[in-house]
Amino acid sequence: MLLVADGLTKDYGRNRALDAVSLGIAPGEVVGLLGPNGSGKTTALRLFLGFLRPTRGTATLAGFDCWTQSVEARKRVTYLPGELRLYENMTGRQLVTFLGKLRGEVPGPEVDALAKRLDIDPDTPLTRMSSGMKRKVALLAVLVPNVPLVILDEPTNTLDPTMRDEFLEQLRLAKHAGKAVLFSSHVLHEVEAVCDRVAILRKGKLVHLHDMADLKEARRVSGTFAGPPPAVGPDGQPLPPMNGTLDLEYRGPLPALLEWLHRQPLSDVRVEPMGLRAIYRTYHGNG
Amino acid sequence: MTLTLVAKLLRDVRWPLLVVCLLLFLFSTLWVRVAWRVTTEVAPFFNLIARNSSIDQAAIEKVVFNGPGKVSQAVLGGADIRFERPTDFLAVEMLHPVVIILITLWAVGRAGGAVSGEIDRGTMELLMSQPVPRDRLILAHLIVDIIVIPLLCVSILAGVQLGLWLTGPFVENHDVFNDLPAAVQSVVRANGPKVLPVDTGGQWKAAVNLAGLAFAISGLTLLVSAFGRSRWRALGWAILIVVGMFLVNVVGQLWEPVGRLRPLTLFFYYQPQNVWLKGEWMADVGDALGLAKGLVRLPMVPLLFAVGVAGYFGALRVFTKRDLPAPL
Repeated sequence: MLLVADGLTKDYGRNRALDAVSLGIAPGEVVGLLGPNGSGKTTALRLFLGFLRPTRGTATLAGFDCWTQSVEARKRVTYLPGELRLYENMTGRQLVTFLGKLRGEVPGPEVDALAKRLDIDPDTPLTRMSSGMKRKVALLAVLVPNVPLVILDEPTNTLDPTMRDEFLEQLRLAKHAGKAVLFSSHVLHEVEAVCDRVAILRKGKLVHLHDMADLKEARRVSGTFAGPPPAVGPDGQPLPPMNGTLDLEYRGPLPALLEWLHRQPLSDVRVEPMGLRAIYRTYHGNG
Repeated sequence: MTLTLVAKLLRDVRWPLLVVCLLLFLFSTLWVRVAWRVTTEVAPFFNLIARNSSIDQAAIEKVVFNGPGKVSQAVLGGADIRFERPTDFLAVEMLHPVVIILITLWAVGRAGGAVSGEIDRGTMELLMSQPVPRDRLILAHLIVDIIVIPLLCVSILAGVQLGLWLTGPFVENHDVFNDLPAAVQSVVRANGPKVLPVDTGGQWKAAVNLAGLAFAISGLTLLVSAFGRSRWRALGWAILIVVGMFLVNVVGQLWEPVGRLRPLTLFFYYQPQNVWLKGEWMADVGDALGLAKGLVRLPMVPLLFAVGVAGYFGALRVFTKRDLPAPL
């Protein structure tokens, strides 16, 4: 595992912001961190970056403790903060070069290539850029360094829809280049689009960790019975009592499901991909 | 990495630095002109009046520096200063409120934002998400102080030299006696206008004392900044501490009970006139505490630099162990 959190806990006074979170991220894996405001997403990311000292537990990045060996850990990660503030007295290029020099690297022609894809002029002073443009510059600074892990806190804030798509494409490219990506977001379909796994936080606790491939195979089946409901489901497992309505999750081959539905006394039926929304709702209501 | 940070920090302060250096330079040039006017025109005139009216010069000074005047005297260097001597008058500049305020504002303003300002603005996240050890940031600020504080002091020295070059020799101006009775004029003019000696050779010593003061204030302010997450709160605390020390030092010269607290202030160890005019590098703490004179003497410049270094070490310790909160 590239990034490992083991019982990671952070208290602010009496308030527990993160509660014994354990999570691992493999190289090249894209993991989405979901949860409403105050669920502990940003605290988790800040612990991984060594900004905060854990109250209990540890986080390691490539084997380096994120607090006690923070510099070694940060050599292997780039970070896009949620509340973006840049050095306004610089141009985009100056900022990327400055941050690159702090990493001991001088960014090359890839800056211009990526800037072109993101549709920004890196030589424009940041003071003259809109918040969306600044976010693109920050993305540039995050994506240019060759590091194994990219951490992004609500990265698509203030990006227009076209740039959101471009950003998601950049994440896919990063993944293909072998980079792991951990990002927090409120936008479920973005997470669905690029993530390999999704972690859902609730009141500081990791309440759900889901493999997206598994999620893509899952279907939600709903409908209304015109007769007595069956005792077993399409997978042969017993069904809970149903009051005339069908509502189940199904993971398995589609023909078996269709054959089972064909045998049921249904007046209507609806089969849809499971999607993140249903899972998210389970923990956070309407997400 | 450290050089990259230093270059960035210097780039950030280049315009304010230029303005403060220019202000110190121009004020120093102007002060030479003020010194010239006072020592070659005003002082001889009053001396003449004193001589001709048989009034003791000390009696005039007693009247001038009574009440609020004594506060001015305390602020500008105490009773040892002879305002009719050009070198003494030039030395007053080093304690002038304009110089003290500019240096203090610079030191507090720059160091106040060093940690809490970066957190407040949200740029600390950007910086600390790079593989930058936290101690390197403190080191970078130390290097910037080491570069910038001498520049401020050199601006004063250069301004004085330009002023002296523009003003020329300090020769008593007897034209101010033109309106006096002929008999009085003849007495004065019999000896001809005197050339007053000006010696700025020791001014560098006062500048070193000033550098020590600036460094001490900067170090203390950085320590305050390392604790905070709001630039303005850190600045507020730092200003409160520095102004408090300044007032204790001034009031302590006028009111004995407070005088015992003077050695606790940085400004007690800033005595540029003693350093420049008498070559006295030691502060008489024993005298200030009401003990015997000369019983406890501390070296002023090393002590100020030690306070600055202690501030930096404190800031280093606090900053390397603290959480970096999200921007406000």
